This record gives sequence, structure tokens and C-alpha cells, in this order.
Amino acid sequence: MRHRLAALHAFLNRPRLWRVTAVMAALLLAGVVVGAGQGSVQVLPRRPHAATPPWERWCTAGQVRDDRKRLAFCARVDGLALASTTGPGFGEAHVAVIAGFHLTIVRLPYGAPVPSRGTRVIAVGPMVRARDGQREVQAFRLVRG
Amino acid sequence: MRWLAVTVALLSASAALVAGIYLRDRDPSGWLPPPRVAARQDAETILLEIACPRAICSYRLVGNPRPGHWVASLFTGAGTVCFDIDLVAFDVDASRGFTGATRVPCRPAGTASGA
Repeated sequence: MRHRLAALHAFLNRPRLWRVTAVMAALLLAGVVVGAGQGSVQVLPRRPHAATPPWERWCTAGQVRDDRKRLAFCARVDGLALASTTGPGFGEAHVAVIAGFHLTIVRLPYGAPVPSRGTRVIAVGPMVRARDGQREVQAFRLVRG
Repeated sequence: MRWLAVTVALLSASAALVAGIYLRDRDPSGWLPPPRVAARQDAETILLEIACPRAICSYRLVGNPRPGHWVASLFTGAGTVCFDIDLVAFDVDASRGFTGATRVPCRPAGTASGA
């Protein structure tokens, strides 16, 4: 037992190695903070009666899907694409977007090209609850940076 | 050993941040206003939709019969009407007016009011 403890101590006693890993971990944390914090998410819980933002006109530019619980009248997500999936329906695609320390699923308009990872995505549309519980913006307007 | 602890702490912070964002956004209730506030907004919207001037008209929330539903009593000058507002279904459409609120008989009660 004492021999094993001594071996473990010898293995862990590498200050130079841990200093390097600490620097790398600090860089990783900084990258996560910067990556997750960029962009913005703006939510309109209700249809506004006055002082509407300019993107609000896109909120009613399509048919809101009625098979999902609607969470907010509209939302605008401006962030980076993390991952994307296509299907199960023909022409159906979803993109996970990170912005303003929020993860939002964007359902792309039918037939829209799927943005690759790291692409800047701006989507406007009603906010519903996705099947997996995440917040989903049904994009009536999509801009790729 | 100190740097090992620093490494573990920083990696834990990164993992906690990612997990926190993911888990928080799985709970979308935080994006909605509290039910009472939403019911007030819906009642005010109904007043706007029926073009009732604010100087004459007012409303009161008189009950919360079941989760997600609030009853609002609207004083329109000519009388009192009550609506059962479905907070999830309530919506306003330029052509159809408001939906998600059904007329119900008024019962004497009082919990909150607004002008």
C-alpha cells in the first residue's frame, strides 16, 4: 500500500507538466467564455404594441408551427453555429447556435443551406420549445455571416 | 501539486459553464413572465383590442381557476365582462383579433387590479 502511494505521489509530482496544463486549461476557459458570450439573444415575450425593433417585421413572415409549445412571440438570435442536423423531414434542418451565454436551436427555413460550424448565424422567428426541451427559434429570416 | 489543483479547478469551471448553459436553457420557463404578470398583459391587450379607452375601462384579475388560466374581469363602462385567459394560447392577430381567451360568467372575487 505504501509502495503504491509513493508511486502515485511520484507520478503526480510533476510541477512543470501541471503548470503547462494549467495554462492550457486557462486558455480553454477563456475560449469558452469568449465563445459563449459573443453574439446576442433578444426575446419579445409578447407581440409589441409600440416601439418595435426593426427585425420585428420578420416575426410574422411565416406560419408558426402548432405542434410545439410557443414560448415567446419572437426572438432574434445572433451567434455562432455549433452543430447542425438534417431531417427527419425532407428539407428540414436544425442548427445549434451559441450566443450571449445561451444555447438556442434554430430551425432553418425549408431548403435553406445548412451553415457550417463556426459560421455566424442571425435568425429571427417565433420561439418554441424543441422536442428535447431546448429553446428553438423557427427562423422566418436567416442571415449567415 | 498546486498547479494540478489549478488545472482541475479551471477544467471544472469550463465544464460547469458549458453544463450550466445547457441545463439552464433546457428550462424555458425563465423566459416567460410570471403568470400573474402575463395575465395582466393579456387583460390589457384585450382592452386594447376591444378599443376601450383607458380613461373609462379597467380590469381586475379575479381568479386562477387552474394552472395556466386566469380570469380577468373587465369594466367597459357599459358593464362588466369576464374572460378566462389561457396564458399559453393567448395571442393577437391583426385580422382575427385576440384568441386564447374565452368569455365566462363573472363571479364576485378580487385578487388584483389594474387601470
